[in-house]
Amino acid sequence: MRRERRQAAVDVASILAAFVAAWYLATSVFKVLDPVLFPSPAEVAKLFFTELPEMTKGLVSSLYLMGSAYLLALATAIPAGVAVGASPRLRNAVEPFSKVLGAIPPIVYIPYAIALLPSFSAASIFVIWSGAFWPVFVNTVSGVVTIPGNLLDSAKMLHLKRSTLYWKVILPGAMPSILTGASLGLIFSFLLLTAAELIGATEGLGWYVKNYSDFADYGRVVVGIIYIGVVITALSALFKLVERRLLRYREVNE
Amino acid sequence: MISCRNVSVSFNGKEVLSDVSFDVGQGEFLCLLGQSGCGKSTLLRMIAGLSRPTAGTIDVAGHSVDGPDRACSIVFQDYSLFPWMTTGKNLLLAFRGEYPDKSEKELVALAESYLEMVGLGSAYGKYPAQLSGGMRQRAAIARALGSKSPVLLMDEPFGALDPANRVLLQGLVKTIHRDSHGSRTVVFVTHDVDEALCLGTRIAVLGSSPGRLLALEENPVEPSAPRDVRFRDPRTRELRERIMEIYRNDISERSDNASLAAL
Repeated sequence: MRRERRQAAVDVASILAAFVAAWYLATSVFKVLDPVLFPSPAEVAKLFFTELPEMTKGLVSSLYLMGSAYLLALATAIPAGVAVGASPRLRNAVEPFSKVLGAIPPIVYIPYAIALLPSFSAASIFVIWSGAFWPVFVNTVSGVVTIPGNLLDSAKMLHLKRSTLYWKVILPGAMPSILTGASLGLIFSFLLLTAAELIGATEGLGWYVKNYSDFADYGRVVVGIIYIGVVITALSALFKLVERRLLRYREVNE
Repeated sequence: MISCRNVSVSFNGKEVLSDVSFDVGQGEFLCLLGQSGCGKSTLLRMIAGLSRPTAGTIDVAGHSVDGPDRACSIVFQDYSLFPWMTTGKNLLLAFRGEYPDKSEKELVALAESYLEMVGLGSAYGKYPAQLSGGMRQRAAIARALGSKSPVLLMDEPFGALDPANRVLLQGLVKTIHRDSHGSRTVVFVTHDVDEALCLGTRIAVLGSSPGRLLALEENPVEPSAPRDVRFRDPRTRELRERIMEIYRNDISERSDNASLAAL
């Protein structure tokens, strides 16, 4: 296992090195690529550090929008999903709506939301929320529905209080599926955040990239894209950590 | 203790159980024996109050069953314990409602003592995934024992265990039943004739399509007889033969009916 992981790390590093080498050769040595569209690795590396403060400022503004919308999505989708999952009648009533509404790409709401809502932050929070809500909701419902019948019957025979039943049995029973939905929701949030910023923002990571491509400053565009990649990687690593902590009961040791 | 009167169940118009009546006295160990699909688990679930008969009545401990019944605790073949809680927490969750007057510390001690009783003294802090199948069933039994309910229902609890563990756990259940001195009534669902012969003070033989009671047999061997003595006893062999005969007759009767229907 450990050997496999070390092997994987070496392979990933080699691919990365080969890519950077090819990039370096194409831009700085053979100069076969347009220097305006394709800045050299050295330029990009230098820019990355000089631009770090400004990009981080953009990150703070982006994370604020995304964090509030994502948390709002979790706070609404999980209780709604648990309620709908636990009641066959509600499930039958809601399913047609969630099928249609969940299938509409939230990007199409962006211009309308910007026109409708008083500020850009309100509009983008709404759009991000609507993108993250459905995957969390749908997976919470299916997580509740697929709790093994014997577990629910065991709970019934213990005559638990209603609140205990929800907190100690139904919510943790649906948790693996909720987390699948939450990780999808996180990716959707980030997609929609950058999409919203490309369209209407005056700060943030998406705006940063869009702004400099308007000025044909492709060095900063590339740096911005790399920075976004690093942020997403960090976010999903953080998510994995939370997930492992919440599902640690599945790990069999000894 | 338990009284089933003319119990019938249909699912989607198909009769699963047909007109089953029997009584279980206090302190009895009744085995519901039958092939898969004969409705024996359905019958157990109805005694527990987890589902309702289409017709007929079921009384437990002097009241008619209407929803999950406090007089019963149940052990399933799998998923009796909540996998996201340690074994100890599983027991605590059950005991908190059962003993509202006890302090948390007393409840922990109680959970530990019940785990000790089933030979799981060291499993308190372990998650079910960290235990073997046999250990998980022991823990589920400990939880059921800790509840004050006089009726213990078991739905093929050892069906997924290896033979050695099955024998060990059969011994455990038997000891627990004996040591309760008539205060615990057990209804045990199984498809294994030898398991029924080993455990039951009485055996209800169920036939299938639709499920119905074919016979109610008294186990002639005293409950305290050790396993090897019991299986060497000619009365055990005789009873096993009789049960097999009941099944043979049932099958030939049904195939006669089927050939008649085909004409």
